[in-house]
Amino acid sequence: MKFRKGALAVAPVLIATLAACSGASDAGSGSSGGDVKGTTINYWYWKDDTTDQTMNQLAAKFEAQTGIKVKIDDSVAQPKFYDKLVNAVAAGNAPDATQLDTNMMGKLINSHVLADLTSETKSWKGYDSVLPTMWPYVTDSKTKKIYAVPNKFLMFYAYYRKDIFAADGVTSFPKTQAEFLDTLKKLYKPKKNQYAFDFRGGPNGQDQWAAFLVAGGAKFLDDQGNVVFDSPEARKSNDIYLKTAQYAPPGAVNDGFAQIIANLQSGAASVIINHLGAAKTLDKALGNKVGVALIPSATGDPAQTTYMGTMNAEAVLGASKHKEAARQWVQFLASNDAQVAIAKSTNGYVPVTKEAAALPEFTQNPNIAISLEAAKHSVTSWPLLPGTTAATTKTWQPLFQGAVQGKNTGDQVITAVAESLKTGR
Amino acid sequence: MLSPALVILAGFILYPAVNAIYVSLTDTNLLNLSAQQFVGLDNFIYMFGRQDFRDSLRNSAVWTFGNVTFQLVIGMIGALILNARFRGRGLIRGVVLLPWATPSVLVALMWLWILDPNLGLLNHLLRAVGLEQGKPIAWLADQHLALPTLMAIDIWQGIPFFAVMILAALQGVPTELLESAKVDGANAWQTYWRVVLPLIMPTVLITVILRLIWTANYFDLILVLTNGGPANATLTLPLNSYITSYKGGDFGGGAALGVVQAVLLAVLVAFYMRQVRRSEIA
Repeated sequence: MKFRKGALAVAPVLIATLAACSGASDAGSGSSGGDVKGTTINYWYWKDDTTDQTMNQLAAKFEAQTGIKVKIDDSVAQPKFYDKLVNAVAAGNAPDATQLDTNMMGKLINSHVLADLTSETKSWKGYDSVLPTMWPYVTDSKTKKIYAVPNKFLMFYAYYRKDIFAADGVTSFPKTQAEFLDTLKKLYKPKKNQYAFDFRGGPNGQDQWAAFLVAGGAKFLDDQGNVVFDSPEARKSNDIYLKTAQYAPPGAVNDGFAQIIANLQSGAASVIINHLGAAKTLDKALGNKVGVALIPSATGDPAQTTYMGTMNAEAVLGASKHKEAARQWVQFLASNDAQVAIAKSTNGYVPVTKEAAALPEFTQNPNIAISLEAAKHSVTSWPLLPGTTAATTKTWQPLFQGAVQGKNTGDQVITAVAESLKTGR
Repeated sequence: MLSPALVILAGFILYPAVNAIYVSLTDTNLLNLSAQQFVGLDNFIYMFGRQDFRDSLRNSAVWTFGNVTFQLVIGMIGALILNARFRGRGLIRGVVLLPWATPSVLVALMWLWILDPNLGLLNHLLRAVGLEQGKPIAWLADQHLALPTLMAIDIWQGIPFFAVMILAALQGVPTELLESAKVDGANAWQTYWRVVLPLIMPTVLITVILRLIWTANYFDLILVLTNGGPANATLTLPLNSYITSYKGGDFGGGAALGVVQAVLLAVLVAFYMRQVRRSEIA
């Protein structure tokens, strides 16, 4: 056990060393086209729910239809998934296709790891059946090349305790960010162990933060694809977000997903921001005590607001020797039937096809309906830049936590995140 | 006879070490090794200029020496107790090993919920006995409390190792010497200080040095409980190296942090080697 601990500490060094032996694994090799029946492809994804068998069932269905066998590796959880993929790429044994969080994609595109799917995607018969707002999530904003196929889509929105709001005389969820702050003051009852907004300052809290800032008018990129995140709108919205910390549950500065869910369930938090991933747990625990709403924006008018989402997209690796078979698989996963199955899976996602998104079982589900409502307006995500990985996983957390605890200013968070997006450090 | 050992040493220790130094002088991106370029000391210059490096260096020193000091003192007391004759000694000797035998990630997850400010067991107990009356204590989210809290957990987990190692040494102390000291009129403290401690000192020193090296490299607990936060209050050098490499994608920068850590640990390794040699001579 102790050897493992020591090994972890020098892992980056050793991995770099081993990788140096393995040689480059740049994209470009492999065949495409031709008969792919009988081909076996390796596909990696992470399970949000370890009991979910949806992907295995879809793989069996795909094999029956095409004769292509999909060997699935779902052994690594999301937090370590990217590390495993990086190691595999360096060692030259990456899968043929993989699920990717859009936050990971920029670095992989910039390093020529992903196959360019532009022409095959635009000529694909399913292209027009995918909601048009989904394509920017997988398209390089500068080159306009498509590097993945949309799949598991999630929009950020607010979950709130309707019972707590009612008890404190708050009759509706605030629409503007200024009103949001006023509302939080009313909900803040520390003597009852009741706090207002759990802003999630810990792991992956950058998504909630960015979703709030984007609704407040911040933009990651301009129309030419240049980073414009450091703006008065971002700074103003960030100031409001930081002010919410005074009404947050103790420990919110370090909270991750499990803590914000537990706090909303117990009533220690009255509001959280998350996506559909929390819906089933909260519905089961709280029933009709939990409500959903669009994230408060600068103007309060959804038509003038941009909402942020995230996506687990499906990409083909440039070094794959079975690109054609892998492409067919990732496109199959975005077909209408597959999307219905994925949206109805244990964890639940927002369908990315028009037909599935229009089904009553989804439009009448309040959590999916609020996601689709947000997605009707202007939408964005963390940009597909090489610096996004560093900005989201390295830069944001310590500086944001420092701003909450008075160690640095809020403006320094904005400046540093913008700098990371630009430089990758 | 020595050739196979030399080959293994060269392949598994020397080459990685030399290559790690080389990587620290490059802009290595594991995703695109063909673009690797030599950047000289840029990674080190960039690192020395960063507050997170200074934070992690300071935290590493406090974490390593603080943890090992407390583990040594409490482990020594535990070993002396376990060396005495009392009923149920065998059972107690087994039970005290539990924290050490529990996997680190399990320990971390267990403490994560014990220490949760709003729903955790510790704050609940403090409230029940009237020791916490205001806002719940955020053990892992307060920048002044987070590192001491993590250290307390690591100390709790590491004490059994010291206790068992020192107990083994204590059992090797000849009873004739202890009886002679008693006959000569030495009290318990004098017997411990003048007779027992010198005899167990080689074991204690080697245990301390090994534990210093392990503790300096160990970051599983911190990764799970605070991820280095809040605001780098618990960021240590190896965790910084991991985050820089895998999360930041900057393997050159991560290797530079690893090299600094390796240089600092080399001093401890030198002490360890000297101690081993002395033990062998003795």
